[in-house]
Amino acid sequence: MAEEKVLNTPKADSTVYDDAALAAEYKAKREKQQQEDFQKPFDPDVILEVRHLRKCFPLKKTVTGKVTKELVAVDDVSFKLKAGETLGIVGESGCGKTTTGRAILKLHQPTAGQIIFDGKDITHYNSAQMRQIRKEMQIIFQDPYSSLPPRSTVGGILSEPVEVHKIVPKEQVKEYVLELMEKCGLRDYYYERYPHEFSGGQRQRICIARALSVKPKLVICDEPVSALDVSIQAQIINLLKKLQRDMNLAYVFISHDLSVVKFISDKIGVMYLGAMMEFGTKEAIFTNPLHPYTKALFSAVPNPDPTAKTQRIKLQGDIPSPANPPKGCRFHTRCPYAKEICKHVTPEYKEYGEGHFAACHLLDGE
Amino acid sequence: MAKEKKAAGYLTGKEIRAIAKENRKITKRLEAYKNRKAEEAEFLTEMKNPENILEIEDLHTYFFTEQGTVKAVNGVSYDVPKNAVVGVVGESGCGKSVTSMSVMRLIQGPAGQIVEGAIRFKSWEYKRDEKGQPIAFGDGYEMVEKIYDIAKMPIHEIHRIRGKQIAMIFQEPMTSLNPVFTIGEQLDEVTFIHTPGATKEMAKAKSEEMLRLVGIIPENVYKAFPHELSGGMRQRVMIAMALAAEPRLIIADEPTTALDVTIQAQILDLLQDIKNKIDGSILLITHDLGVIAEMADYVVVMYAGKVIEKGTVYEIFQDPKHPYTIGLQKSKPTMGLDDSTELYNIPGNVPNPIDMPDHCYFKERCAMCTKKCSGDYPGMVQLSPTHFVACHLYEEEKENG
Repeated sequence: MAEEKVLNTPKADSTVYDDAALAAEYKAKREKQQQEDFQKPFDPDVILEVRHLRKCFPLKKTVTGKVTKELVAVDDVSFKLKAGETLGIVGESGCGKTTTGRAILKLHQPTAGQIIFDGKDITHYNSAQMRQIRKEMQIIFQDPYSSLPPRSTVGGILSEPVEVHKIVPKEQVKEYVLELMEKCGLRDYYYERYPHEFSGGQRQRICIARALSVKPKLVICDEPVSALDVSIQAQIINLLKKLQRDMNLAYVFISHDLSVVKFISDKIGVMYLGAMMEFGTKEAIFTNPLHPYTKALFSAVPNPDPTAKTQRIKLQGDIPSPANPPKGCRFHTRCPYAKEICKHVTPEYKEYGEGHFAACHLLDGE
Repeated sequence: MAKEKKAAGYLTGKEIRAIAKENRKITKRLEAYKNRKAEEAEFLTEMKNPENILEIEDLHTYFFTEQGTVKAVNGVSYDVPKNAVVGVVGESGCGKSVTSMSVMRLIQGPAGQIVEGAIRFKSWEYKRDEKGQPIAFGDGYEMVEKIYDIAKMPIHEIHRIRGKQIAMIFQEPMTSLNPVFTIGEQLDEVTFIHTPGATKEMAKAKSEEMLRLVGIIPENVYKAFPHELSGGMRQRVMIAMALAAEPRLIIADEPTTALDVTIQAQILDLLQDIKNKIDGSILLITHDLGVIAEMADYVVVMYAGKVIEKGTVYEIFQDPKHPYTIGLQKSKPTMGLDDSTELYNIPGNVPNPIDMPDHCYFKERCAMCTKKCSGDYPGMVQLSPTHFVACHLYEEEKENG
């Protein structure tokens, strides 16, 4: 049904739009919605809930320090994640997927919104409180070459967090670390070695082992396989899946590679210019993508089958600068089905099926 | 402890100095050969197959480091036919980029040297008189076809080919444009260098034509600086620059790796389109199997400095023979794959390039290896007129009929 709606040729629209009034109306509506959502009780099944997350970075300041221009890196992103599940976040560069991941860990302080981790609202925790909770939420970075300290041995890197957070008694630390290394596919004689002696895949295993050394409940994987070769990628993805089963971990898996995200995720969120465009279970997103951007993104992935004739939805032009996003729907400048309304009115992020959210005017019909 | 370190490839200062001394001897000889003065007849040659535009035969490019000799390209042979897209695929460090750099003679000396082999290229250039001036013929100049052996050319002669006949598109559009010159200035330069008697107006007209060809409105971009453009636009400018001298062969070294997937689709469409317009060939180097499958007519699979399999795109993707090619295709998660199962993976890592084994380089990671694999490195086995594979498994098959 939705498919047909989207493919309809846009009808001529003679309505006159007052941009300023529409923006004010949208803002008021959104604030009201946010106030309502913030009062809702926490869901006990959910390990991580993000409500209306917003993160701005200042671009220009006056002499007095007042911010006159800002870049909205993440705008009104909400989702829920259960223990043992994987949420994949996909999008092009500059869409705010990494900022979202970092804001969840409070490596960036969110400008607005709520982050609820394990039944606790951690949005306004101070650094001492965060230190207590950090052992339950860890991150794996993209570049394994720059995220390991060059002067520590693998043993040192892996035992430090264990000692700091007192995961096991002091005399058992080495034993615990060796066990962990075995789990992550690292040989025991690597204990005395330094990071520069390893290849990219091995280093990424060390990063994974370090993240898991404190027995976290949630791991943010920020493009963990993008810097690796295909054959090594497969090893790391399998390792991540195996560890998830063994330790009942929840992952937030950030990647621009759709095929990898499809393989590892249970739920998928598609981001564009800081906003969530579509969110749903993997099956829903892949079998019935609603948003035109999701469709275009899927059709742009090269197919490793020379006989397959791909029907590409071609997107014109480049991603607009996030410092100056388009009015109305963010995607209208590149959307092949854009109508007049898309240029003025920001579409509402609504539920269209069981847990399947999207923000697009074309889905609402006339 | 000392013994342990030695086992892990540890070298003493004395050993390093001995290696460095030996290296200096070799590189001095090769540098002298590279910088020699030579008559044209010395590097003219003949093509094995006149249909080809580029033939690489048994190419060896080594890097002489203090840790030992890295055989980055170790006996690579493949051809680029006319009007075809040849895709070279392999993991990082397999020598796919070094091969293309050797073709352009961009290997950084004195450490990096082409040691052996032939790179035959069919060049289509101006006929020149004794003084080196092009001979006028009608509106333009008289053209002549010459076949050069690029590996034997002295380095100061290479400008006949580099940029003019073979152009290169690099991976990083951010770093391969000069930040202090406008796009227009950088594009015009190509015409000034490669067209005899070019005027400013001619150069500008040509640059604007090229920008239009790659889908950019020249008015907006001609006077812009590289930092004002997005990644996709910069890559388009790079392509325009490569096209400005009307090359017969374009080497695209990971042209889309740094770009987003929707921009990648645009650039790939553009390259396909351009290939038909300029009537040339493309040598496409990438690690993305999907890109290769969409673009290439012929595929060359490289592993640890050697070609392990080559054939047409259908042969490689539908009937892969080498265990590495098979593994590579299985280990890539695809959109249509059932994801309840575990992803296939090739165990282990690429062997250390300084200390390559005598047997097949893939033996340690191979699931199908036999007794024979401990013997010599397997030779190329021909399976069909276009399909070659370097694996012992198929040698027997061939012998048994």
